Amino acid sequence: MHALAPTGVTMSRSEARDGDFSSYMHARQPSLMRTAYLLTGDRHTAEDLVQTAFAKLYLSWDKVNDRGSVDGYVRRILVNEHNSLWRRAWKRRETSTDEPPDHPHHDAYDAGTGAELWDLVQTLPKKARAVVVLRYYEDLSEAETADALGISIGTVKSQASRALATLRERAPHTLNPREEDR
Amino acid sequence: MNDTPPTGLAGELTRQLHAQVDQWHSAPLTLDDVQGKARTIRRRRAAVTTGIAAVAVLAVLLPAGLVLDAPGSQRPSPAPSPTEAVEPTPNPDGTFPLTLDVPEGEVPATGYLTLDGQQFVTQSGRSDLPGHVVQIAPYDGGWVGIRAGDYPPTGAQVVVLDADFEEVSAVLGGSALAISGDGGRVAWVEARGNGDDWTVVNAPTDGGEQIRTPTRPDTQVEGFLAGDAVATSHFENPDDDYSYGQATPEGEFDAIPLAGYQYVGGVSEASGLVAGQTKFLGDSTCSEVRRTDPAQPQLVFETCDYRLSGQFSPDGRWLIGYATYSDLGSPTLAILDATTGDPVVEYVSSRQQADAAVVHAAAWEDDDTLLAVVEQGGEQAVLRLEADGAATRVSDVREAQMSIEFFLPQHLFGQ
Repeated sequence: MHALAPTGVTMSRSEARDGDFSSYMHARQPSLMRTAYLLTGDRHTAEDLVQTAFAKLYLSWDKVNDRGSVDGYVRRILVNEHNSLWRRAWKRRETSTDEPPDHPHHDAYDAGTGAELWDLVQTLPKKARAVVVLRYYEDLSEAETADALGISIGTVKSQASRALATLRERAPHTLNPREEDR
Repeated sequence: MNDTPPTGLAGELTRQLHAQVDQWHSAPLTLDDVQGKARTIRRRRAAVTTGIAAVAVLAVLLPAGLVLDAPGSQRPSPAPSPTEAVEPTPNPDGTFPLTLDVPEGEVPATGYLTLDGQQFVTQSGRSDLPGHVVQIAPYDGGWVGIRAGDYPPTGAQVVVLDADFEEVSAVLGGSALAISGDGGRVAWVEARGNGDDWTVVNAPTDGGEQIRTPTRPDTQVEGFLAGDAVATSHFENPDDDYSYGQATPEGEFDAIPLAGYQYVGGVSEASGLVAGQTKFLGDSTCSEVRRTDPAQPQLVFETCDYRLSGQFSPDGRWLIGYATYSDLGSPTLAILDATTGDPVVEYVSSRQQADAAVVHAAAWEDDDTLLAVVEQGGEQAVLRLEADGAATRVSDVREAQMSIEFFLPQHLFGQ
């Protein structure tokens, strides 16, 4: 899997390692950045989070023998790093303002109700929000979500159920169809 | 991955989460960006490891008797400025001095409470509080706190404040407020009606739906367990040890097999461990860490070197260890490995009476940093204590008159 230099000269081990890591980082970065934004609701915090997650992955790159497991590994770093932002959580609460959340993008589908639902997602407790993002954006199974968050499948179920109940209670009627949620 | 597309609100949620970010592009990170961040992380890790190694090496090389004659009571140089970093200097035995004579540092991110001033001091400033609030946590866009006073039979009220710290409601309650590791939930005990109707309240800090579990009047919350359960304790009768239970997310009570604990110091939702004192030997104590999962072996370790009456770090890796026996505050404070009991760092008071210091309370500011209310020479202050031995004073200094002048929001009042 290690690359060769364009001249055909074999790269040094560290160059090959860095090339290997860079390829992975560039491929995976957009997706992780989106997940981080959904977890944090703030562009700058999301960028910091992804940079930290990649830095920690970089430090462990030689130890990750199974390249197939890297996606799950870096996602776990991302989520754990987000969960350990204890100080920031308190700071956010102390300095909370009436400013609306940062909206990076509204597409044509969004006639306003979408932004409203997104606002509601941002009010969920951190753990419930992480479950929502991994289950309904990343499309992970309950077991995969439990693994990424380091919690039991039962907790994933209860958090997801409670989060949907909260959203259902607060969402506008137009976003509240009487269909059974999975 | 899921094969079946979600329907209903879940389907709408999936669509809207994608709509929020699928077209979003941010400036790409470069390898240089990541390597720079990695160097910072590596330096930070090395600093902690060096501190731990220094403790271990010095403990082996130097005879313990040197402690008495060593310049352990020498005070470090005065703080050059509030923000300048000062290399921590260990005692000859590898411990670090417990003293108020340390550099000033930033106000804790979690703030602190002053008893006389009735204020909540945070990095944003000082806020006046309605009475002697001894614990506080964000709740429902404002705050929830425990207010101490003449409120029989518990001596405490649960008070809900708005964002400006104005009182919204107050009810008779238990004397402790438990905060979950991620700060997403809080729990307390409150009484309604004429004081006969007691309930464990487990609430999301965003003010969402509460989980309410009926309980007996002398119940105390001890902390959060995995799965949003709340550990509680109560006396069976005045001659017995405490009994323990858990208020489940379903609003029911389950027993926790913690027979033999004289009292519990901390529970960890992250690691599923519980710590507390098991033996009182007259002038010393022994403590144990056990697993709360009955399917696993219970005992993790026993120690008679530290009293485990403090909390686990939010990530469950570390545990506070106090002096094995003390009447008026602990002259030592250790950060222990929560699975082995081995000390990572230990802060120790001078043995000279004039410089003697004690810890009245300690709580975690984050996964790696402790806050402690420390008294020395008739004065009291809040210190930030780190795993590499670094200490800073993060509050003003107040005269102590047989009283506790500072309270830490996460420290269970009465513990």
